[in-house]
Amino acid sequence: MTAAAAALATGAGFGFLARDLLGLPRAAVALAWVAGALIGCFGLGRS
Amino acid sequence: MRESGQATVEWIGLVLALALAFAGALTIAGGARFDAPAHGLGEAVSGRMVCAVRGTCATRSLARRPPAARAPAPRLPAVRPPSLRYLARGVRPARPRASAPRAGRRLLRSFARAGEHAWIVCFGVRRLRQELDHPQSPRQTLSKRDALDIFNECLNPLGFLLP
Repeated sequence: MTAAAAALATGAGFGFLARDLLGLPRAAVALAWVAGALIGCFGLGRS
Repeated sequence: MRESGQATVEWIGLVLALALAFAGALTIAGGARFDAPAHGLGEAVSGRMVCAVRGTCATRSLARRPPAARAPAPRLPAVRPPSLRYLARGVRPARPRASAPRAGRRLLRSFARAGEHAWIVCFGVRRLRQELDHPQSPRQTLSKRDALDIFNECLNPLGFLLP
């Protein structure tokens, strides 16, 4: 999986957790998406 | 007796039965070598059936393992003698400092790993909600528009970033 795909998938995962499961406001969802994308891009979950 | 919803229960039962049968076949095929010729699977299935009837499966699987693959002897934790200085003062040595950051890093890593795979759950949740809002019979397929909506809601970054 390329870094872009990992960033997209992890960002979507974090965004889903923040939006649908936790019910956070839009700003927090956007922040979670960006944080997830960064985590996925740098491969923190796989190191 | 109402018949609405009957087909859904039957379909779920059929899928569960198929999943069970598939899992059983995979368990039986666990002894097969897939790089071997195709009749290896048949030999593995027949061998498992014969040894199950004879009750010798456990001994066969133990005998087939190479000696290096057997369970290693349990390693006892290394016991270090306490320092006389600590005993004399009645003070216990402090814990090593590296454990807390390591645990935090491990927690963060598992959190990141969970987030990496959560997008798949999003598809399931959205599909379930869509099914509950607009119930369909098992023969009806999901329309392309609904599938695209689910895909868009779960993966489109603009849906998360823009208000």
